[in-house]
Amino acid sequence: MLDTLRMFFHGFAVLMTFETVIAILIGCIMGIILGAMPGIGALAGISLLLPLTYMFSPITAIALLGAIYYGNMFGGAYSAILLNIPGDGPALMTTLDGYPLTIQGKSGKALLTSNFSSAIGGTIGMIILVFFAPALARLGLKFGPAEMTGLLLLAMTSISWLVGDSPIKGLVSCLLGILVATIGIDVVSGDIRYHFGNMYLFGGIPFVPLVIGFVGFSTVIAMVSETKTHMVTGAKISMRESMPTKHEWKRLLPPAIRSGILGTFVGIVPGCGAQTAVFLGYAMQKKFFKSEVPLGTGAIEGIAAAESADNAASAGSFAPLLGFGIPGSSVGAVLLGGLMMWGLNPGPLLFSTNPDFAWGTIASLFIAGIFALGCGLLVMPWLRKILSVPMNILIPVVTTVCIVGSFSTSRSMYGVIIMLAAGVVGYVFNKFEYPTTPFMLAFILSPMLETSLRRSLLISRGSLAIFFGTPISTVFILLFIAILLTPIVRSAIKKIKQNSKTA
Amino acid sequence: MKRMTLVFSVLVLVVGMVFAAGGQQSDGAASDWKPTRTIEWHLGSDPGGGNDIFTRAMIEILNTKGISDANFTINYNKDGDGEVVKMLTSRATGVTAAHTLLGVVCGDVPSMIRAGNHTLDDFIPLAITASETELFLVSKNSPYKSVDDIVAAIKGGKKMSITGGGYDDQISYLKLIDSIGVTEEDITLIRTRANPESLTMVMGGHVEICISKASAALPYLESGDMIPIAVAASNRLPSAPFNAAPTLGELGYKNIDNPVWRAIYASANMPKEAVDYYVRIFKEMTETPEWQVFLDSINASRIDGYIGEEKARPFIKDYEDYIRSAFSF
Repeated sequence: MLDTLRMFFHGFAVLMTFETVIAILIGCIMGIILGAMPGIGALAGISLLLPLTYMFSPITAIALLGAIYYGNMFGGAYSAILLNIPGDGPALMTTLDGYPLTIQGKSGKALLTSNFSSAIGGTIGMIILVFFAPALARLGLKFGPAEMTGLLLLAMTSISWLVGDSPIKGLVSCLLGILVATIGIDVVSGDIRYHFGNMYLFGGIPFVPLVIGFVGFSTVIAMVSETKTHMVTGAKISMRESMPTKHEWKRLLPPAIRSGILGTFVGIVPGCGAQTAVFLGYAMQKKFFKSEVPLGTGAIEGIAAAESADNAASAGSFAPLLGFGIPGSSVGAVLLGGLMMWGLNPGPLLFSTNPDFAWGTIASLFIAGIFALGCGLLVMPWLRKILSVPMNILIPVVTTVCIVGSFSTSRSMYGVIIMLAAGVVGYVFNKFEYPTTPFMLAFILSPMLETSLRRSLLISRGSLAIFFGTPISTVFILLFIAILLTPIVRSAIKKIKQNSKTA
Repeated sequence: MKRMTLVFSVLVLVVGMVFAAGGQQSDGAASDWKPTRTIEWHLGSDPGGGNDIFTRAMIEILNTKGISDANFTINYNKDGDGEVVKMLTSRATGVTAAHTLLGVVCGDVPSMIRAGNHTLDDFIPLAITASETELFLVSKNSPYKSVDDIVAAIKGGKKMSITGGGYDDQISYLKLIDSIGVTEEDITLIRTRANPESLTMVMGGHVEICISKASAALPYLESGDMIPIAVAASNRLPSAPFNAAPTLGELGYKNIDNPVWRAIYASANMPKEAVDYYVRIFKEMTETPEWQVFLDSINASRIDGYIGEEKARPFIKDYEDYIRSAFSF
């Protein structure tokens, strides 16, 4: 333990050069800006900057890219909260409570809750990473197809808690999400499904244009087609009013800490992604813990749970990346490519062969967290101006952001077309009061679940026993069954009690 | 109504601008040819992957060694699982065709045949620049430490799984089971998206065997977490730790060869002068010591003799014929 701490502080010592500290600061600012622009995000930013990092030492380079990654997670919430445009999967859950708070004129509260929760989640993730990185990486390896199936089944149950008032409409929305997700190449067999002869559909429906359209552009359509508009403009965000009160700190801290711990452990599972962590964190808050106002109506507990899980999962994903050279996300894959380009071999020996680099990377993420929080607080006055923009200017601006964001994700008009179509479908969903969240969650989770399930059954030659083959998968499956049966058992007990009373 | 008109106008304006930016020029090629604008290098994959690393290294050498002073820009576009960049390349004409390249890895060939949108005739293969070798690996904790152990276990009734990333890995798998005389039912292929996912499955003990490019397996071989049990080539790799992997021929089975090659394609419409230019610069580039240093750093090999269409095309044609015979599509 002491040796770990010594190496960790050594990591800080390695970082403390003017060049590296400035690189982290610039990275944070760029990350926040890129994250705030839907569809651009950390992946594009890091990919574009990768060639430039040749001119730096590997430690400065990874510190810069890590800071972009970290800053991006802070910035990702801004457009979700202010404009109802989630730029990526994890930000989707932030819109659920962040945008209602904006409508209530409390966008400042939402933004600061998001900033502080991101910092809390990231710090928890980094602390766990520092002390348990090798053990976490090994734990991540325990998650094979059967364990992933169990975890994703649990995550899928969270959809049922987010269906809203009408379970039937929620189910329809969820099933449509699953259906749309099946379009494209089937990873397990290599078959191409539901492409209708259109080569663009071979690769499936891209997520970011879909979510920008479904959530963001549908709001634009609603604003221009209905007299009753949702977007609030002119609301000023003063720092003093926006700062969480003592009572609000009490509201946001517990979910942020819980989600931070959960998110870290979900983040270490290669291929699981921050979005799974965010859904589970949000669902955990909704199902098992009380919030002052219901989640989905502007609860800061919801923002805290989602944002903390996002940052913690991103920190956790560095465990398999640094420990085994296994990227947990697409951003991780680019960072891995960067490590190889700089002549480093990320893998089990990285901590022993390049301790300066490995510990320097972890230390740089700590510093990036502090800088990102500071930058996040500093940009608040400028964010105020977004909501001060008159509606007749804001609507075209948001429309442009939607188009450019969806174009930059797929770098083609295909993304724009998907965004426009998704906007119309999202509008129809809202018009007829079908919940959109189950659609998006099913779209993200079901391909991962399908792949894991089919891989498991291929390995076991069709035997379901594989799901009870290890303690981890057994626990997940039993939990899943328990969650499924709970309402049935409750209703049965209720009936029995009623019968005994009447008897 | 005012708002509706406003949004519609912005939509039309922005969409029009984006279309214009992404559109292609249709003017003809210059006669005395040299790049006159940025060369767009299409990749049907994400940044950070093998294709990207190779392409960036090539551009770096071309520019820093003064072989070409042209500007190159990499266009990552996974639309249509890589089919869209093939379309953009094959349909390019005139000046656009002369400034458009496509990075191809051998695993793209089965995808292209399966999708049926393009054939080799739509392209000019300018050069095959490098190849990588694949290894069959098991975890250090596996009870099976060699190909013989695996064959013996299968003969004893054990069913196993093997995992690999793309079509290139699938070809190694098909060649392996053919060589050691077992069926697809005896060893089932679990397809993954990429090598890291496969390595995770084997190191975690979820699947018995993994197919991986040698370069991707290096850290795990050095740490001792993985053991190479065979190489998908008729000769051992020259350097440690890869040279610990025997050929299947050495183990008494039929030798197999599955080099994972990388090539650069251009549109069939690329003017002759431009083709000559690219063939020349790629030939010069692959002959630099820097290219060899790069290949050594990622444990890849130089392929000599496949620069230029007349040499590269027959090689790729043969590969296509093999794919058609090995797969049912």
